[in-house]
Amino acid sequence: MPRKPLYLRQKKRAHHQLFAIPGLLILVATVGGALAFNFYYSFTRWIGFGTPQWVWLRNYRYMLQNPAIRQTALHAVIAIVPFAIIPTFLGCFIAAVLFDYISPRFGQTIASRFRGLLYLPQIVPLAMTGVVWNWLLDSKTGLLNQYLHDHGARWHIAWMESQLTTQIIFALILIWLQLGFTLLIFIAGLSRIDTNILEAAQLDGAKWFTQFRLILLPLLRTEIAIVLLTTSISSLKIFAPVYWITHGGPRGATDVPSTYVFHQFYNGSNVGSASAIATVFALLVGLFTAGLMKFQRRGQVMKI
Amino acid sequence: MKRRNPMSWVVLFFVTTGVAIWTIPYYLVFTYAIKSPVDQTSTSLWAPPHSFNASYFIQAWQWGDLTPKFFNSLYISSVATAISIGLAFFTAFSLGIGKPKHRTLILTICMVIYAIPQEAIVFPWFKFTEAINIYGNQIGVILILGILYSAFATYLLTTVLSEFPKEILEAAYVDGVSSWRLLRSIIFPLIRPTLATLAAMIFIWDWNEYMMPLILLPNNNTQTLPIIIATALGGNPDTGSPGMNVSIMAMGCVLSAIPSIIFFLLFQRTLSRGIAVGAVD
Repeated sequence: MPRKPLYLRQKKRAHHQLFAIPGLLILVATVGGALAFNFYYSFTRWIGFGTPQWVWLRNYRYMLQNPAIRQTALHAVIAIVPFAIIPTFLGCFIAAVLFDYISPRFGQTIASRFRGLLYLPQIVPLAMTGVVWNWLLDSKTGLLNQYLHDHGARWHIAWMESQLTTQIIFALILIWLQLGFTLLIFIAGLSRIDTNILEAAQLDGAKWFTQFRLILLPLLRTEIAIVLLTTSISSLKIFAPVYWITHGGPRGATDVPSTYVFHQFYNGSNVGSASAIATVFALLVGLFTAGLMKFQRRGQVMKI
Repeated sequence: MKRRNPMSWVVLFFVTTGVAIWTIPYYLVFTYAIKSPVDQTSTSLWAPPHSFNASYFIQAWQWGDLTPKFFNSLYISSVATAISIGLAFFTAFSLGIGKPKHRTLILTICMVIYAIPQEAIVFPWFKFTEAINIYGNQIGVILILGILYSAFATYLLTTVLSEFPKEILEAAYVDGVSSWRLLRSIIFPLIRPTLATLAAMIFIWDWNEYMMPLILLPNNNTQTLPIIIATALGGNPDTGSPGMNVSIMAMGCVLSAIPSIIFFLLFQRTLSRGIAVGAVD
């Protein structure tokens, strides 16, 4: 059968492109519209009903001057360490241990059981995880303190009541939460690697850690970039873990922009100012995402 | 299977300990929830339960009147997932197979929309649902979640579809297949496993969604299961609530996690493969 001429095939492609119209239109109209309104609110003084009163840039000035708001922004940036950087590298290492060390020696089943268990914090609803941690760490009725008390401790540690301990514990909880996600992606990435390379390395007498450092790590470069991208973005807009585990407290010690803004909306106290913060953070996250998408593309070109 | 030496047992020991530490919080809650009252007081916290005790299960369920909330969550999550996949599939077909000129720009926009913090859209959307009289109706939550996650689904599916085997497409073009036919009879059957995985992922996200339901569903009768349980357990300071029996609390946690865990177990293998395909290349 003779092949159809090229122009006919290209015309087909033009038809394909029509299919993008409804989905993209709905997406852009909804989200774009909402963002536009949010932008408008950010220039007004408004309690959520009645007529918004136009106040120019007053909300933005307030945002810059208010130390509490600046603090929340700082928290979101710091969260990148326990919510993105540490889980990425820890996940990378543990994925290699599970996939390349445990699995060939003790069987694939045990490795995937471990992976499943480490992934649990990712699938259990965060509202529940929050209840669980508060149950464990409550200073009076919490399990941890009860346990310490039963074993002779005389003091009650106020785990989640002092600002510093809460921040440290919450950072650890964030690592605990995020590891499963990074692990899943790295294990998937490792399973695509050609095992011949690893066998060749072993024939050459490479130790496991050398093999990890010199072969697996470079092969996982793309995954590392992608995982860092997604987890950093989720740190910047982190909401549910804070909302359910620490509620932003004690006294704002773990408050982040999302929870701050949420409370403003929820209580209807100052929609204009909240919208200004939301606008700025949406812009930041958007730029971050677009930038990292560029980086990701360049990485691919380099790969080819 | 490789040879095990003493070193490998040491490694296994450390890894097992690590995994055990990771699961302790859930282990404690789960065992507490199914222990009988006698077991709870007489045995140590760490000890496994002697028998399975379902009484707290029934108590928690009745106490919170959870059946309708369970169906609320099921309804919201499944319809929202269907909307996301439905919207994304056609867009992704057009972007991934049709390969228009500004594909990367469109994908970047999708990724940006997916990444944008929800607090930047929640209030305008709340006002919108008020204006068209669907405030408090689950449709409001379903629509916005469906549309929002369609952005991520589009991104992932497009990446998968741009790797679609050229030979199959060529063959289809030679046979003079129409766009619709190509989509329905060739692409859809072949991409179905990826769609299923993606649907499972988005379903879990929808199930565990908080900001939108908290703001858009003021009535407890329409609220989702995880939020209801957490609120009832005193996990939500905004709504305020009475303290309660620890056993029922433990059971509530277990209950609201079950659907996501089932979904994960069903799709565990495809889930990691699906993400890998989507995330790389």
